[in-house]
Amino acid sequence: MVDWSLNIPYNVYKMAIGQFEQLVLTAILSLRDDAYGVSIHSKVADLAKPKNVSLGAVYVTLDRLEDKGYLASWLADPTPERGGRAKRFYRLEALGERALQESVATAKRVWQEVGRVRGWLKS
Amino acid sequence: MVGIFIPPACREEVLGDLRERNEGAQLFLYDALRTVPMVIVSRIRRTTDSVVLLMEAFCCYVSFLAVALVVQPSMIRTEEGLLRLAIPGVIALLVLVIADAYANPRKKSLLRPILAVALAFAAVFLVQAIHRLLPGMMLAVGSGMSMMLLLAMRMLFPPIADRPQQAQGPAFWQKQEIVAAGVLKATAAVAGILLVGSSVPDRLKGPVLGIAVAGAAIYFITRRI
Repeated sequence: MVDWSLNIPYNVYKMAIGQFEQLVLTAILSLRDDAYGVSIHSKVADLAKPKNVSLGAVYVTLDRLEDKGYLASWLADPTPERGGRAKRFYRLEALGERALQESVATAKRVWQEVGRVRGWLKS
Repeated sequence: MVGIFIPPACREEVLGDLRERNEGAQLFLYDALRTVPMVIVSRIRRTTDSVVLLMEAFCCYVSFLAVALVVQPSMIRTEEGLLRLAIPGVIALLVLVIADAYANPRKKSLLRPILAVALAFAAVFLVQAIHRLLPGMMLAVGSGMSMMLLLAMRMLFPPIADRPQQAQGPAFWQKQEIVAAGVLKATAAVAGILLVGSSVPDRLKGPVLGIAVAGAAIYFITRRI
């Protein structure tokens, strides 16, 4: 139920994120100050194994997460190994961390429930 | 060459990333072919406000419909005629959507809305020169009216990338002030009912339209409760 008294935009309550968004947020979290297109893609590809991940899909997700306010980005100085082109770095915002926390908590609950049913965990 | 196809807003980092990932020209091109279309689609999604686009489409269609009503009323009596009236608007809006996606956010200009609308209707006249869409007079007057309405719309609701943004506010929240997904869903529902309604007998069209309007009204009223 939405609490209108807080005067928070409606979509803040829709914090559920998809699996690929989780991967991208996790990659940015783990890369810390070195999170830019190529490094995020290679981290996400590691996390998503054995699935193939395209760079384009990572860009689309980064844009969407930035629009949702989960990420912030900025352009750094150009570097010679990139043909004099700049890198766009990404940083996790508080809202993004909260969304990731919530999705991790959900995954944990699912894991515990499956474990309880299958007898992997003691209830 | 590849840089031309990448929207300026993200050209720098995308080209840099492609260069860093690929040593040879062939690998670079292959990677670019897989990446750039998705970058363009993502940019279009970011710069296009679906509700404003719908309102612009409505403005264009109504302009051409009004002109057809005066110049050639026989046109609006056939389904083909009604469909033909929509083509100039579709072309203009397609060009506007692409122009917004390829606009450089670092170069802001007061003339941009005027230039974008002029470019959109230049494309319409170019298509008219190749393949006749509508009678010349109808296209000229309809385009004039559409341009006026589109300019007014674009001044009231500038493209998302041009809107002023609060210091710490994510763009998504700002977008939500104008875009309500419910509006789009309700409009799509009404359009769907009307489409279905066009195939029912004439005597049932009134009730079908009434149900559609009443349903949309109830939806809008109860949406916030």
